[in-house]
Amino acid sequence: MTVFRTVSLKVVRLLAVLLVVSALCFLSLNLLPGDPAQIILGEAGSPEAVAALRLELGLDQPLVERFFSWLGGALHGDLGQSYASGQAVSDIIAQRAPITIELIVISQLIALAAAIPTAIAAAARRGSAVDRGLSLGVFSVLSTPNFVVGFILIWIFAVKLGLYPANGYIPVSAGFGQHLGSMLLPSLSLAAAPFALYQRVLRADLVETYGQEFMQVARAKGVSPVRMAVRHAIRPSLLGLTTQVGVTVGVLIGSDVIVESLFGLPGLGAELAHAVSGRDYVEVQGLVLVVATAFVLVNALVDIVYGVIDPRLRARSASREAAPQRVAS
Amino acid sequence: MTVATVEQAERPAAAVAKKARRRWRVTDVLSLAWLVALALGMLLLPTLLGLDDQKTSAAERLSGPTGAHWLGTDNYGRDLLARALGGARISLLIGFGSVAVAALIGVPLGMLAGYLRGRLDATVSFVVDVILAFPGLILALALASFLGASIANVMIAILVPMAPVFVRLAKAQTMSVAGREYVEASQVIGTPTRSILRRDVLPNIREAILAYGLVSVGTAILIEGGLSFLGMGVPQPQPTWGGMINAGRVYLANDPLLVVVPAAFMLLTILSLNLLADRFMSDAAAGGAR
Repeated sequence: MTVFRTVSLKVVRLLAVLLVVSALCFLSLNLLPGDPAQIILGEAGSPEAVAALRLELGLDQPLVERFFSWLGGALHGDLGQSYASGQAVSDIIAQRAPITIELIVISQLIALAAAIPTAIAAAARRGSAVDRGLSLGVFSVLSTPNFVVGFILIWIFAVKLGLYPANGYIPVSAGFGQHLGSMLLPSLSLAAAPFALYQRVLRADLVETYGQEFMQVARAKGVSPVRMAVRHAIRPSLLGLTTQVGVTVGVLIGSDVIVESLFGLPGLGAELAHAVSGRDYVEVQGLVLVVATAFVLVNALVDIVYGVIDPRLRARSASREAAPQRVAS
Repeated sequence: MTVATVEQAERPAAAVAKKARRRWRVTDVLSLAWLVALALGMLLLPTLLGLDDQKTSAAERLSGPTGAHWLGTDNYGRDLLARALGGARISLLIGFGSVAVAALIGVPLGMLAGYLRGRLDATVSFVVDVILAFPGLILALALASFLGASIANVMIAILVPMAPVFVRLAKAQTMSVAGREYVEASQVIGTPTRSILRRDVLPNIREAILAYGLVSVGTAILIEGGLSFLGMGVPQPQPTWGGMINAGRVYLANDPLLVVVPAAFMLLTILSLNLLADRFMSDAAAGGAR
């Protein structure tokens, strides 16, 4: 019973958040000073075109009704048209989303692959030169804008070494190797900040795990350092990282706008930047709605994974028996 | 980047270790020294050296370091040191300004929500969830584009996604303090809620909030850089570090100083803020409920 109650409450809350998010996206265009039709068409819009668009948008109807008809359209995949290209916003998204998703997934993998071993190395010898060196490096990465990371990568790999193209996108159809080559530098630029965040969080959790009794027992038994890290330390230290991975998706989506623009990748981020600077409000509205919805859903998913990783949390929501509290994450 | 540190900042309250206050490390001293030097340089150098960050000079474009221009000039012949220091003024104004406002809105709300719970908490948490449903930079970008470019609007665009994180942090911290004996003692003797929050709760959550605030100042400067990169930052000719980096990137091959100078100022400043924040966080962890 309680499980059902908890889950349904969460779902209701999720839907409520999504409803308000979509209302805000809708209102953004309508709260701008001036006539939405005029804003969409810009200064260049002739009075006739504006009048026609007013009718098309149903601006003569009350706001609430317009919201629900807009929302109904959005749920059926109708997000309006880009006024710059005349393309349906949903088509733009369908075309470009795969590139963005691929970029984000590759970057997450790179960030995790780099963060886990370095966090272990730092935590296993806390306070050592390795730990302090890594800390300073990680803080430096956190203090550098990602486009500067991109400049540095371009300068090293494209200008000096000539290994990879500085920008431009090569589709899979032109060869898988080349495709990955064109994704490498963008992925590395995008992975820098998440790597630093993950390293910090996982290191802190590992330091705590290493201080616990079962680790001392393992050490006393003569378990090798590698086995200690892999078999004993990692799993109980993953909670902070899991939360962080979910939260960081938001950071990645934001940085993605910059990285795609820098490297000329035709994904959602570059398109959003383009739409924003071209004041293509309908497109901005549609893109932001889709991106925010995706972000909310990813975080809901992370919430579920959380329960799978930590049986204590599952126990707490599954029954009323008091589960041990998580001591200092 | 912003939310990350909340996780870390939330630890102190529950931290088991009770250590003495950490000594000043070399990096702490260097960080503080850089920030002080930057503040002094920003206030004094332009007058002392007669620097002008707006003065252009066709004859001295991309001069490289000279006696008159220590760090060289940009593509309009403007002194790079002057612009980096002018950029410091605006970047720091945006950084500290937007964080201060975000904290002034977020911390009291978070404390009230965490202390009173109930309906107020539910409402505040819902609003926080809604704002955080938008990825930070996307929201900042959308706000900047709808509001139009100006220093004040850039600050608004940065602080709106930031304030909810302060709410969450203050709420979590307050909840961890609210059950302590000294708070209960205050309740029993009938201390008004306002005084409890101010005298019993705030002093114990201050360091975590300060630490997160310092990190956020760096984040805000980075976001301004990102907005500049996308053409939505503080409009030219006002110098900001992010704006300078972006204006200079066309000249990266000929005169890398145009990018390196503002990038170095930005890196050193944000790094200093992060390292100091880390120190405060260790202090908060060590102090627990002092």
